Amino acid sequence: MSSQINRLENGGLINRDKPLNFTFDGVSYIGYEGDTLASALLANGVTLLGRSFKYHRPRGLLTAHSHEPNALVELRSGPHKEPNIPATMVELFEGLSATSQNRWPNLKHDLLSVNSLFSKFLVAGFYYKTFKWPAKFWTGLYEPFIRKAAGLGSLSGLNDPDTYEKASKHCDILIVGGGVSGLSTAISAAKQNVDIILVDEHPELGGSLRGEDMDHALLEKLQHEVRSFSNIKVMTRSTVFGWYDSNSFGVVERISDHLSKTPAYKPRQKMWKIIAKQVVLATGAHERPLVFQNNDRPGVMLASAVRRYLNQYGVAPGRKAVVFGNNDTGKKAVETLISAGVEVAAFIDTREDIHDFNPSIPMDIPIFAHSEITNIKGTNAVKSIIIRSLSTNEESQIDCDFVCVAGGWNPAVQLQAQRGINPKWDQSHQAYLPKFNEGHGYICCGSLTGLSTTEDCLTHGEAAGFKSVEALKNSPHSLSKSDGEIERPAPPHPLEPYFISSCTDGKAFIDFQHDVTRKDVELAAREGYQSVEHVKRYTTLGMATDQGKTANVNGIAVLSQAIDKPMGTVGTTGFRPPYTPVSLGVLAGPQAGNSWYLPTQSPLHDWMELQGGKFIHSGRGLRSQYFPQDGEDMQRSINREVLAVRQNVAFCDVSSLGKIDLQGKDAVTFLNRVYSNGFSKLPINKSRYGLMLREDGIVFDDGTVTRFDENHFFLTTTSAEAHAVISHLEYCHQVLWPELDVVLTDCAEQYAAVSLAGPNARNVLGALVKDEVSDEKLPYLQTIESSLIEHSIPCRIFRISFSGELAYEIFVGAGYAEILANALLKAGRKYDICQYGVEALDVLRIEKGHVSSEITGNTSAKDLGLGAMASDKKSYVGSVLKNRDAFMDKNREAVVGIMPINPKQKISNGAHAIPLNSKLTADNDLGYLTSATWSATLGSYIAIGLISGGTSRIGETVHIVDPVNDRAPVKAKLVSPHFYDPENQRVKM
Amino acid sequence: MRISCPLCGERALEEFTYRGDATKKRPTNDDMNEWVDYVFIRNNPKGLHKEHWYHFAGCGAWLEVERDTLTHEIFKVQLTSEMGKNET
Repeated sequence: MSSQINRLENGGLINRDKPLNFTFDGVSYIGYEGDTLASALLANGVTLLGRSFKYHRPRGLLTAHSHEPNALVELRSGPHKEPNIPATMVELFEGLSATSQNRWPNLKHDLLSVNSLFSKFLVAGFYYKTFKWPAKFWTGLYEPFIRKAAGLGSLSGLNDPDTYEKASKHCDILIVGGGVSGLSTAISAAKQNVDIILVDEHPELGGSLRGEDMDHALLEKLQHEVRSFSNIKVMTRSTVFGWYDSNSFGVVERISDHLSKTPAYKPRQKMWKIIAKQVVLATGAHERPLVFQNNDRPGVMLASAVRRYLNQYGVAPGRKAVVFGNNDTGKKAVETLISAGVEVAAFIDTREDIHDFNPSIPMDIPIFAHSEITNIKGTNAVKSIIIRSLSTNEESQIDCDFVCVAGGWNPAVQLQAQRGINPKWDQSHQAYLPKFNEGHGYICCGSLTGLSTTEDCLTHGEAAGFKSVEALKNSPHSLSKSDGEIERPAPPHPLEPYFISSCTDGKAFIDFQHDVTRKDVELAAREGYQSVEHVKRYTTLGMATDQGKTANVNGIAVLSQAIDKPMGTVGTTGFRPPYTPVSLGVLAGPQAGNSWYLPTQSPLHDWMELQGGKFIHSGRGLRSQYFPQDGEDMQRSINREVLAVRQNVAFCDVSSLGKIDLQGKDAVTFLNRVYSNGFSKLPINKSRYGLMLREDGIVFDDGTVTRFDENHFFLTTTSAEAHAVISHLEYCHQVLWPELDVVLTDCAEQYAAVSLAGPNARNVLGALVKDEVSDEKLPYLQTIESSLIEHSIPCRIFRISFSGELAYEIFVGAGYAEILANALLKAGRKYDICQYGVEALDVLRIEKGHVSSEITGNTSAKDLGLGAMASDKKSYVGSVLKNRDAFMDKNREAVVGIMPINPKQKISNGAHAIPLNSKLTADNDLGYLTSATWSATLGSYIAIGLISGGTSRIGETVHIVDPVNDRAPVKAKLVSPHFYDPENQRVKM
Repeated sequence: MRISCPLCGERALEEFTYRGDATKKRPTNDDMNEWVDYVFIRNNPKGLHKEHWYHFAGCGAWLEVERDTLTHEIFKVQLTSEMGKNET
């Protein structure tokens, strides 16, 4: 067990009374409560945390925040394992285990670091250049090698055992970022009684007050004040990762990630959709590194990160520091180091008049004005640096064990950029500052706008709070149109426009996570890439999981120098959500596995389940599939159910049908316009088959229309299209013909429906209901209102048949479904009644040649053999385009029956038909089988198919080929699709 | 995106389904070319557009929405049934 050699004696916001055990790469360490994994490792002197993406170079911490490009680790183990987590964002907990990534066999001795030796082959665009020839080497050699050598962490390959939640929230003002500016905004706005949500990605509010610009008193004061307002809802450990249309924000709240185990009944993470009337962006700024040789060595860190490790965690990254900067942040780092008692071996600033800017640097610290670092010595850790004077080119070497780099600040403009509002280059700040667009309902404040001191951010935040409330008052019900710019002070001292070392030797990294060097960008420029967007894709600059937060601006600087264009004119790349990586689990939320969606269930579902029914997913619902008896398998059960309908009596749940009530004095006109057949002459209490087309002339749906009264109709639709039909009919009514006086009511869920079919159906019905149901009283296609003998439940009976047998559909209120079903069992007992499911229903309709799966969205009424149903005498949806030339083609695939010569030879859906004497190739394809089944009634396999020429080919013999099922071709005859009772006599029994 | 349904108020996108171009007018004659244009030919404008949306998970109203296809800003939402009545 190592001791915490880099932990300072005092200081930090850690709880030294609460030590925590953790492991990294199997080695045990101790940190404190309040540490991150990064600060705890640094405290233990562990500075080598990972290997780089392409060259496997040793890497350590660069930052202390979520934009960390180097220190990505795999957290936890087994199914809980999660790769690519920045160690800087992992709160330490007891028993935490993490491992380093992208190294083999281990971090200190990584054999793949030989990639560095081949680095001249791994330059920008190497994918496109190096691995092109010979072609077969790609899949066999190059690709597997690159896959193994490059990349980041690995997945567990196991199902995610964690739970996730989703929720929505509304507020008046959303404040993104809980630093000085965000806190100040919240307090100022809250005083005016508006609902505020304040979000911060860290475990606690305070931002730089906890680290870089530590100020205990101010932190306590602001936090106390925020807590005193009940109208400020604070969300910590929460990242606003995306800004979407209509001021909707995607936020991930990490509820249990900081705990060793997710507590019972709590999710691991929660996805919030926050809808805000106003948004104040106080997202702060990221410090950027400087580009010089070996600037990626472990120990080279951002000056702000070093200050945070010293102040918040009481950790010094080493014993002997060098500070290198082009702005006043460097001075701040020197001051923090000195007050923490760390030796500063040199302070290097690229500016000339540095002594005027930095009068507070102690005299005993060697200051190098107008100088730069040109190289770092040391591989796994910094050993010394080479300093070069920018005036005299004189070089000197200084020993140290870490380097603080202060290259200026990149305001965190990612959220606005997601909205397409790209930032603009500001010369005086040497930074991309947010641009303000009218009409987006947002205000920017604090260091996001280029401010650098706590005092400025406090004042700015107060003004932002005031302004956002004002905007809210001006447009209280919609998004504010106010401009987001608030006056702000100019920077006290200019930044030196210095980004890149004057020395071009070796590797100087721009994008640490994707291993993109200065030379890569320069090469891209030489090869003709001028646009930032092209350079990005060619070099992969900024395309890693950190989206180039530390890399993009330096990349643009290198490009601007290479193509000799000023910074502001080179352009920027866009940003897309998410701001930081979001786990797929939380995006899916609870909608995973069996909870992906809840299938609708029939009101008879539970009853049928008790009866031994088996179910199948059909559309969005579960339907009864078959009802096995005495250990029957599915096929035997289906055969028995089919024969029961043909020879005796059985009933089937058809509650899933779409049901629409239509009333109004223009109801007939409406029906004539939406169905292809006519309804003017339909008598009261009669039903008629109805066919609906789409405007393009293709068949949309079929069903029945029953007239209850002069202006009152009842429509049924197929189960599959129930929702689409109601939407379509409402469109016809509300958009096409709002002048028609009709009202449509979707009552699909209000009724349970059962089809009672078979030669004995009338006998059973007679014993079921109170009224007379003789053929005279209730002829084919007649409907009556009646009531069940059982409990006098009101019902409606339609004499309609899909099976081709004597049949009735019986409708009752959905709540009476089980009474109806029990009554049917009772009334049918002496006929040995049974139930049938959708499988038997399908066999029955195929035997009759009724189309169902043939309505593919490509078939016309004529194709389906229903040409006579599509009137030419009236105007209706689809009436013109149904006559398109293509639909008149005699060779179109149209419905025809198919019967194997040997009735026992199986044919399946999807198999194709090929003329008997033709070669079995796709060129000779005639069409395919849409509905194939074993017919117990006929003792044969039968099928309906969509075959070129359709019924004009009846009598021809074909080969049915089924390579997908690996079956030998089957000889079959093309026949009428009406296999059973073609004269349709049995329905009229 | 959020759409202000004239009957239900501002609601989330998930409650609506999109149909398409609302500027196309259904032909009143049998001219095949006009019908082909009505059913198949669509512009893909960048900027302001009129579209039909259906509030399927709300009141079932068909809406004509004036929307900027670039920024997704919504300028106007009307009930198509009311618009028809005003025209006649």
